[in-house]
Amino acid sequence: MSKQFQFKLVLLGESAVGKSSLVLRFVKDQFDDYRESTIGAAFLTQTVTLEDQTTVKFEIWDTAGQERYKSLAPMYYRNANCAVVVYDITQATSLDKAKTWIRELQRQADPSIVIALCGNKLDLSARRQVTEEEASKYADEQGLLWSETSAKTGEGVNAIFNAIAKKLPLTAPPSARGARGAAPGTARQGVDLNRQPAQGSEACNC
Amino acid sequence: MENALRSLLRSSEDLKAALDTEITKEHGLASSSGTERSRRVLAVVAHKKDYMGDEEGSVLILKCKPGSSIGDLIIEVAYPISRNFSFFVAQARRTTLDLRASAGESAAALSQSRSELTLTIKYELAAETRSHTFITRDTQKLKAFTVECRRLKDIFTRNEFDADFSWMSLYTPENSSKSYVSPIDLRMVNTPLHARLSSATAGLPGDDAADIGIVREHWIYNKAIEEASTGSSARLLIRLGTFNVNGKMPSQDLSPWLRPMKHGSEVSGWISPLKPISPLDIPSETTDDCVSSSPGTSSVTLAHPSLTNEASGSDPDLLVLGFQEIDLSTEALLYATSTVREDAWVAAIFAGLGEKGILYEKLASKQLVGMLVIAIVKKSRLSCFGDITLSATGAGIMGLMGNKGATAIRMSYTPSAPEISPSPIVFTFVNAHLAAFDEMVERRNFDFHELSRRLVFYPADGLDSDTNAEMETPRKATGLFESDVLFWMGDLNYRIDLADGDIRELLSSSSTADNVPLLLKYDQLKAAITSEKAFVGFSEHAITHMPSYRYASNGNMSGDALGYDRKRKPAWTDRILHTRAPYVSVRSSSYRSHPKITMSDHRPVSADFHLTLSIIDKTRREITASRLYRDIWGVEQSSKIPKIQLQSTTLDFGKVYYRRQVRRKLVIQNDGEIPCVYRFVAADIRQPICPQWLKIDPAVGLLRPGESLTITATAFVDNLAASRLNLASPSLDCTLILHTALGKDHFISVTGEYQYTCFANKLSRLIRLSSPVRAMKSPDDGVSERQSVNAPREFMKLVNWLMTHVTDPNELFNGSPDDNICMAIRECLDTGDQFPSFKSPEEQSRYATVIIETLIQFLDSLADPVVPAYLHARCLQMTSRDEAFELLDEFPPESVNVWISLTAFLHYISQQKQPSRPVADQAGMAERLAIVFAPVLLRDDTMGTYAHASPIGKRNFLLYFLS
Repeated sequence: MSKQFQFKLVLLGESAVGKSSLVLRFVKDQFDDYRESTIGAAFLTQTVTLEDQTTVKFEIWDTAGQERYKSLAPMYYRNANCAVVVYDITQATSLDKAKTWIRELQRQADPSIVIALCGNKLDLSARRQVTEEEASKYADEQGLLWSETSAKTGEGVNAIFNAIAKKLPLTAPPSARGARGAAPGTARQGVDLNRQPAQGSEACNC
Repeated sequence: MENALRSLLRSSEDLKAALDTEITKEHGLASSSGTERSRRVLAVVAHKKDYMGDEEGSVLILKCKPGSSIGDLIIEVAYPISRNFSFFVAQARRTTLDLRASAGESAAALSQSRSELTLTIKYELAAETRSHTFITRDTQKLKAFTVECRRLKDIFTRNEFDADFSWMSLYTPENSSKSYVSPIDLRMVNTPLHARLSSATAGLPGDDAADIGIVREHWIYNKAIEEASTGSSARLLIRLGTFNVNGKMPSQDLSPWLRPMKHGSEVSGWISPLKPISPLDIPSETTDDCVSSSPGTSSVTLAHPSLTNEASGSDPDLLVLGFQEIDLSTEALLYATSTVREDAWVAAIFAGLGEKGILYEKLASKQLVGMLVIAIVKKSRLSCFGDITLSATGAGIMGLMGNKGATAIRMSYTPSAPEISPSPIVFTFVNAHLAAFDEMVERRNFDFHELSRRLVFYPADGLDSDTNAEMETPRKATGLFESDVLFWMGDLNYRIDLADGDIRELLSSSSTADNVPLLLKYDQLKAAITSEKAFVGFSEHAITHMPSYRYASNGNMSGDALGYDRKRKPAWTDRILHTRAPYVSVRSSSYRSHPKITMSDHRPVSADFHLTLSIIDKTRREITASRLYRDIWGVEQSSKIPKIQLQSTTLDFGKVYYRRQVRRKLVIQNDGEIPCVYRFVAADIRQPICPQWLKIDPAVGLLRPGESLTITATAFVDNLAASRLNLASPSLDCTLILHTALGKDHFISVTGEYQYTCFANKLSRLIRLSSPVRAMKSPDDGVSERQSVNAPREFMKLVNWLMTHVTDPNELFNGSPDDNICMAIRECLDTGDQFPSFKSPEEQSRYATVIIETLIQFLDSLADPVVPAYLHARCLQMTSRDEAFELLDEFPPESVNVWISLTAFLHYISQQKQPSRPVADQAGMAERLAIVFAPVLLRDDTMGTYAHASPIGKRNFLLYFLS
């Protein structure tokens, strides 16, 4: 039996950079050209399976990007295990906004949070305003995961969520407060007790 | 048959095969009906699991409800098609057939006998194997049945580890015929739904699955009542009485206590009591609307045609009378077997009922030492009452002895209705005697909780166990609050927290009617309810009668002018309260004491209750509940996402004024595929779900797919909200969060602009304002460092108007002020505009009433009273006019000018000639003004820092300035 983990993931970023489209592509493999702006915080779940058959279930809060709801964002990133901060490669200002979000996360969120910076709308690279170098350099300096995606074509979407899953601390059970109470009978996740934690077994071999 | 079966299933389950059979042998099935032919319907049902897509199967065995058509199938047993499930088919043996034929089977069936097959179903449990054998002739359907069983068993074998079968819990007999015979605990029924859910905030939804369960139960319960309601209703008049008889045997006519009165006078033809009408008998014909201590208690019943003429004094259908201290002998504490005293009181009751007595008979009674409760029912209604159970518990010495405690009667009332069997309503009547003495209030509160816990009802206690023949398994004890209506009466012994002299003076003054509400502010029972220490959720009709305790014994000189014992503070010890489920309408009237019955040191108290009970079809209620339960069940386990669509995500309240209600509607719709539970949540755990000035209703709800609902948001700025908003930025913008359980959070933007007001401010702030409050753009706008005016200009404007225009002080209290004019006057004060001019003397008089009311509201709304609470004790020590005037030096500067201006006006107005009254009444006018203004100017401290000062003392202090 494989190990299963559950993590809370929050999407942040300026309005209209494609946060909801990215989630829709990841969760349902769909794309919608004309999506309404999110007013609130959508909740979705998606499970990814890693090479070693470990499964990671993401509980995704896709937050509203509009400035007027900014004060509510901390309610959604508190207790989050990972955050995807999205910008639009065709809008230079959206990267500035993303940097603001990252600074806020580094200051206010759980210190162990895994942050991924994601440049969306790769299908519109002809109108690019943010270079790969600029964004990846910033991500390296800040110790963030970084990649470019296109929610429209699907390019890079699964890759970034997989990268997050790999980087999450899979040795310890996720914080109980982040996980929702699962209904009895459906929940089969949990840590496999037969398997020793990776670090523990290494320590024994020394 | 298939349709009937499908109606039992939820959408997540599929009917795969159905088979009409007759059962031959029974193993493990409870009800065997001997040689009678016994029809059974077998069904194979498949459940599609959400995430894997695999199916799980179950075989249901169903029987027809006795005497009804195939439409009413009841699930007898359900087996999962798992490893433990097996079946085999065989040719029916001849012998079996013969038996059946002799039982009256038709010849047609005999001719087909060769094609009859038996199906045996086995289910292995740890301890036993259950086996049922069925006979059928329908080979086609039998084949389909077995094919499905085999297929589902194969699926099970492949996925054994993922097997779950939790979905089947819906089809187990306990759930499918979930009954609602016993009422839900009233304390839970009356708790707002949102208060029962898990704590949740934005992004931290709490235990959504458990919350769905709570909301669903609530929704099904109410929906089943709604759908099973026949639309007609039954009416019932119940008269309750409580009497502490102080160990006396009946020696007087009890009729005033027992019989309804016609607007305070005796109904003609009834025997009048022999005693002359006592001067203590204050007029008590007022039947004010029930003063409710719990929100939503008052029901709209006035429209009922039968209730409009109730005052004509119709006979009660049920009389429930509680006695205390019927036996004070010491032996009574230990042995209470004798019924001598009970018999004497029952005889006195029937004598008191006079010629109406023959219409009634005793239904039940319960005695514990001195406490006795008796239910007497009108014979014509007797058949409606049943399931009588009794309870008694001591709360006296060591918490057990019966000198204090309670006795109680519970009964069900089933309205008579043609063709249907209505849901019974459960009434519970408690007669309690709580701990005595002024200072024992905590003990009384404790007694209430002890009795609430220990008064339980066992069905075996019932008197009419014979009529209860259909009572199945012995039911467990039910708690006191598991009732539809709970009446609580008795000598509750709560006193008045005021000095003895104050109480007597307030009671004997000429304006007793004004003083009773004032005294009730200090009533310990009212205080216990307000502070939620006891009797939470109970309502009591407005008290207009004199305290029922403690009277000096007849002819004894120890009584005061009113007849009260000089050694004990008068108090409303004898009370009648009730609490009820929302679907029962209870209106109380004629709450009064009976001073003519003087045999005890207490006076008996009575109250009438007019009940309107909607008639609910019991069978339909149960069927509806199980159907809804199946429809809505399992939402928390679905992989589908609940979706709610908001018609609008903004609520604009525009300009929001002090004490002006604004309503906005918000329409939401479930546009998902599964039922959806929504609730409003706060952004943060320390915050409420919406700002103080806003109310959302309903804040929690359930919508089935496609259903829509209108949520009402009501803005209302009261004193508390205004006192904060006056000191904040005028923008009311905020975001509400509507959480869908297991789904999205929706944001609703609220916008509004608060309009500053002079009400709910501090005097010290108002005198520093250089312009009317409405001209301010921010809370600090135009607030100067130093004092700008001597007294708030708004206050002076009111007083100046009154000084100029009022000539007859009686105009000031001339009827109730018009709300719209009040609002206009408030607006003038806030904007600095002139008051509207009046055109006629009548209009001027109407304005006078409004202006004085606005002045009182203004003073009462002040964040701090004109005379600060720390000075109240000093004020009361003043013994002369000069001393009182000297004390003004110690008042805060902003209070001095207000005090002087107001008292100057009050003095002036009390000196005015009253055209309609003699000069002697002028002192009366000063006193009347003092009664109104003293509690406002010297408002009690609500924080509990300073002890409450005597209301009489406050009046006397104010009167030094008026005379």
